[in-house]
Amino acid sequence: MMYNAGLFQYLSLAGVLFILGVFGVLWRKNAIIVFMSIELMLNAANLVFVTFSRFMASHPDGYVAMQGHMFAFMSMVVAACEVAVGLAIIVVIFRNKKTIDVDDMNLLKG
Amino acid sequence: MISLESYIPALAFLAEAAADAVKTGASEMNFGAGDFFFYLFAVIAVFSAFMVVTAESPISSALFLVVTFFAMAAIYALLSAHFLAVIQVLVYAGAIMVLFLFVIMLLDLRKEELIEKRHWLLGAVGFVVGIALVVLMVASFRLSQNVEVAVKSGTDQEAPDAAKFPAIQESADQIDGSRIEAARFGTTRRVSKHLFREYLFPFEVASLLLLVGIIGVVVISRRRRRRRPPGEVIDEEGAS
Repeated sequence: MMYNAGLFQYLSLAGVLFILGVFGVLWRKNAIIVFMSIELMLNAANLVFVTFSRFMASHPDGYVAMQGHMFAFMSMVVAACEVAVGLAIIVVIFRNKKTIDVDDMNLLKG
Repeated sequence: MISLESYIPALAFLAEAAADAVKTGASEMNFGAGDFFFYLFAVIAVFSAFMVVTAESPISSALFLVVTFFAMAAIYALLSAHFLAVIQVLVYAGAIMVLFLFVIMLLDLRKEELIEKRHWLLGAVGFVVGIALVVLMVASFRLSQNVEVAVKSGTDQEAPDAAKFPAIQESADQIDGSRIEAARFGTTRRVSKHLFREYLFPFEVASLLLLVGIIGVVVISRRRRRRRPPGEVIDEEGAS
């Protein structure tokens, strides 16, 4: 079983991490763990950006290949903001309802 | 637009790529240190990501998430994205995880609430949805012809390796400019060149976004006290 780590292997790793993230969002009820699963998915997406960036680097236009890094950088910024705001929302919800079970958050259900 | 029909060639492409990987792996037995470390960190990342999703207490979930982030940073380094690897450790494993741990400690959760999970069928649905999204990614990748050509040429030749290009010490007339640029792929120097030239505006927008995030967090998590007539005793619990 000697397979070199190429495009396919890196994309498979990203895919597996993304699937685990979706799994966590749908399966768990604890809002914090749901949040961590979202982080996992963001990381998987970043890995796809960096992978394509790397494997485009030997293209004749290789100079442009660093754009993938820029996208990953921006998505890290967005992830940081999202975590801060989301955790603040979770804290406020816990203060009001004394639970962070996502099934109990049904105020907007109507 | 990506339609359902494009799923079939995408699946075919995935199978082809898997077959290629098996074939090349069997024929040429040059299994380098880079490959070994890729598999090592990939296994660590997948295992700890699985533990994040299945662990009962949020604290152990958070600690496994730290392990995942470190493994991802190592994989970024293997992809010669040095700057992103450092940022991954600083931002994700540092700042974001500290936030998570603080919030977990702030909320005192009941024990029985932690272990609640949904029916396993929903987990299976998540699995199927995840696979569908991956296939969608491959499909959109196949549809964009340019990227496909670029990546094909990228897998045929070896991707530029910093170790292969000690060109910086070579004499000036031997140095091919593009080779130097290739050798600097992913370094902080190249990243900053892009970040502060053609991506200057998105960079500034990102800083604005962070500012909005800071203000938003303060506004959301502030305790609002009810207006009380003067003289009444104010309880420190804070009415929400």
